[in-house]
Amino acid sequence: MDSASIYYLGVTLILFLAFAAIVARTYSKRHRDKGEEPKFRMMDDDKPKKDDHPEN
Amino acid sequence: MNQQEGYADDIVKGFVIWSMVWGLVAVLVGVFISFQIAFPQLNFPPYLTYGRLRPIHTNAGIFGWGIGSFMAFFIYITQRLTRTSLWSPGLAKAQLWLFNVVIALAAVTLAMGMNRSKEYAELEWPVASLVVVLWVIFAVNIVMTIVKRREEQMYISLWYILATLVGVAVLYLVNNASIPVSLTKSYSAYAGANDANVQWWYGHNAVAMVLTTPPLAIFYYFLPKATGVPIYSHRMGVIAFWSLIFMYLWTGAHHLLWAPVPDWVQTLAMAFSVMLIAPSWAAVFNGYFSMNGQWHQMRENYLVKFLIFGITFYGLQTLQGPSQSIRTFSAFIHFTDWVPGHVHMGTLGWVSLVLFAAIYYTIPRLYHTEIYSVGLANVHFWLVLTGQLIFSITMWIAGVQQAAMLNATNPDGSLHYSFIETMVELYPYWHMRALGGVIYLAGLLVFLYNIYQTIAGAKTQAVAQRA
Amino acid sequence: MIEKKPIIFLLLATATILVGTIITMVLPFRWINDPKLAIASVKPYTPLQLEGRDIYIREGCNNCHTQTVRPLLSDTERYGEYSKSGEFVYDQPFLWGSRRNGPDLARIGGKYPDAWHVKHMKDPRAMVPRSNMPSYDFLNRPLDTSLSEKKMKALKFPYTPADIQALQGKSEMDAIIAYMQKVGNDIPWRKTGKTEVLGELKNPFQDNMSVLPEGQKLYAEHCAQCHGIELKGEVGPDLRDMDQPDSKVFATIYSGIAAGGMPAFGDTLGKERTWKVVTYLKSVHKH
Ligand code: HEC
Ligand code: HEC
Ligand code: HEM
Repeated sequence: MDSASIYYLGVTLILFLAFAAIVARTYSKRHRDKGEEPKFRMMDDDKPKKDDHPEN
Repeated sequence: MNQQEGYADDIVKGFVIWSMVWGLVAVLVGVFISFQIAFPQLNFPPYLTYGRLRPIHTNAGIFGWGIGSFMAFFIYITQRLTRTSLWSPGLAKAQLWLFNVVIALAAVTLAMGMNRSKEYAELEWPVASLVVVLWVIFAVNIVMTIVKRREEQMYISLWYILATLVGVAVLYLVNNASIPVSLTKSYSAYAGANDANVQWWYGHNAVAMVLTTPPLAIFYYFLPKATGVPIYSHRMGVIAFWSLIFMYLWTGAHHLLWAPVPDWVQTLAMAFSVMLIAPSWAAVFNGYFSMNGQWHQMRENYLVKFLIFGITFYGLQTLQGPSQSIRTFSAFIHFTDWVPGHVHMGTLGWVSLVLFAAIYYTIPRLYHTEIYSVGLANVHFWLVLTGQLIFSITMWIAGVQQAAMLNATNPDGSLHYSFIETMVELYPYWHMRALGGVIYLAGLLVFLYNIYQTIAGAKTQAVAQRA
Repeated sequence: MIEKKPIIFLLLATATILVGTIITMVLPFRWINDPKLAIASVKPYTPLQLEGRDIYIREGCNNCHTQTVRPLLSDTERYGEYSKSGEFVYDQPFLWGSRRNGPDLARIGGKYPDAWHVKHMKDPRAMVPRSNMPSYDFLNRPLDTSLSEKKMKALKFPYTPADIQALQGKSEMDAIIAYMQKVGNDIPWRKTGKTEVLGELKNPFQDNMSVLPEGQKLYAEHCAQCHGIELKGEVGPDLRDMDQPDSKVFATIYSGIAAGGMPAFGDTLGKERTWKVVTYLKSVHKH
């Protein structure tokens, strides 16, 4: 293998690891509820919220 | 300006109505040019020739109908997902004016032959500059609304909206770089194969950032609203989001297979196009799985019918596209009528069906009334579906037939058909395509009538209540 | 928590789209149009050709015509030598197109004499009855030359005052034909790619009356536009009472007369059908 192919392989590997990391994070137990929360909250949006600051 | 609910919705009405006007223009011109191809006597030089009208059709469709309604629904959705009113309704009003001025200017200048010739970036630099101003105004308003939001986490639609805002800006600026000669004439800043590569990086990502991410934002928002059931998986949406916006940008050169741009660029485009099936189909599955236990709504709820057929065409589109990106298949169908078949399954099948649903959902709510006629909405649905299927299917057959004839050889190795011999065989298909276009137009007119009656009814209702 | 920070989210999304952009769009600038790939014989446009190119763009000819020949048999046999990136270095914008409603024009230069183009642009259906190309008769109007010099300067193309002077009195038709004749003609592909006629040239259909109807049909389709349906001659000469031997007529049709504007039909017709046309030609007399 020449240096170019090693380089390409490395980049591919890094990209794949980034992808795996995003998947692992999104699907980790810790993020599970948070990750799915917006889809429930969006069902109720008929009126703007009164308070001026995002909650918490 | 603010409605009783506290969202700035008058401006949404304005964008929806004007986008429908431009949508009608796009379809009218489209039907006309389909007749010109079949009956060349319908060319009336200098202004009304096929060569000058085709860009008006694509620009009215993508910028007038597409971007116009995306602006409407981005403003509508963003306010609701952030639970706050629009950052600046005044700016949005100016934006609507500018939008209409730009689209009208585009139509007039293109008819006059002021044309940069680069697909979907035809507008000469003064008009293109106005487009940039328009986009900046729009982006600032949306981003500021999101910044001052009252809902902490962003729902997936907002992700797609934000990606659209930056994506379009980057693409448009780079591909419109020009050397001006006068107010009405400029030359591309890039030459030859470089220009081609920049153009199709832009061209394919116009598909990504105009014909994919905005309709996805709208789909992800209105499907749960229409069914009353949350989307199947928000997290799957997140993974698909990052993969989609990462991969799309590598694929432009699948429009340049076998052309004199470097082989490795073409090969990368081919590989990434095939990989794109995954994030595209994640959205399709997300739609289908959300329907678990809800499939009966396909019969009972016309909005769901529009949305689910829309995402289905998106699914087919993102299988067909990657196959067109394979060198051997591209060698066959590239440059033939197959490609307009692909294009219109996407624009008529996917983008427009989703927009119809969003308009049917929002207009009655914005005007505090009910839709004028669900029956007409169903007629509309079947007409546009029939028209589009006739269009796409005849063009696929025409493309394959012409490709086969172009490749046919005699025993001595010479080609069996001259170009014109392959072309004259296409007339029957072109007649069918024009017929499909007319049916689609009829469907669109039913839709416009339905919406018109809904709004008119709401106004008389309001007057009656006041009296 | 990027899903809660829109500005950081925006930056990340931008970075994500820039990766593919840089690799497949920005980096190739290093290789495309590399001086090593330059072709010395490829010349910039003259003022007249450039005006013609601008008319091509204005009329949107690129919506029906492509200008790139792919290295595929069905392209190279039909249109000629495949396109090289070095041929397009002066093309701002490129005009490769995306749909072949009409034939590819990348090798149109030198394919037909000017007179053919004039006739064709005026009324395509007079030449090719079932063409759906619009007629461009209106291009017979004076060429607007007010920007010509500015255009040459903007593109840094060399020109002399005589070139600009020469635009006087030209029509838009002159300009677009000048452009058509230049397209794809800067590399000497016609000479190198010319079909050689090898072997014994003996007409297999000599005195075979049964091939005359097919020969006549082929003639009407491919030749009548220049030689007239009755062979009386128009763009090309009168072909009645040909006293040349069959083999010579065959060679003319098969390989063309590039300098005289007679196209080569070897690739389109093949040997057998060429012989049928020859047989037909020889059968037509002035009475
Ligand atoms: C509606 C599509 C369409 C448009 C627009 C169009 N053409 Fe054509 N063109 C065709 C078709 C179809 C043919 C093949 C039949 C014929 O020769 O007329 C053709 C043939 C040609 C040919 C002959 C090619 C050959 O190898 O025989 C030339 C040259 C040409 N066109 C130039 C132009 C120019 C210049 C313009 C713009 C001013 C233009 N065309 C616009 C459809 C179009
Ligand atoms: C684009 C126009 C054009 C077309 C199409 C064309 N020709 Fe010609 N042809 C010419 C011209 C111009 C000449 C004269 C060339 C010269 O003598 O320099 C010519 C010359 C000839 C000659 C030689 C005549 C002589 O007296 O020496 C023959 C034979 C001939 N053509 C046959 C054909 C046949 C057969 C076809 C159809 C397959 C055909 N041509 C199609 C333009 C055309
Ligand atoms: C994975 C997704 C997709 C891929 C890989 C893909 C691939 C392609 C390819 C290879 C072409 C060029 C065909 C040719 O000229 O030979 C093309 C054309 C086109 N596609 Fe798709 N496609 C995809 C999805 C879509 C979607 C969702 C739309 C939405 C409308 C769309 C709209 C278009 C348009 C408008 C063109 C025409 C471009 C032109 O030549 O002017 N595509 N696509």
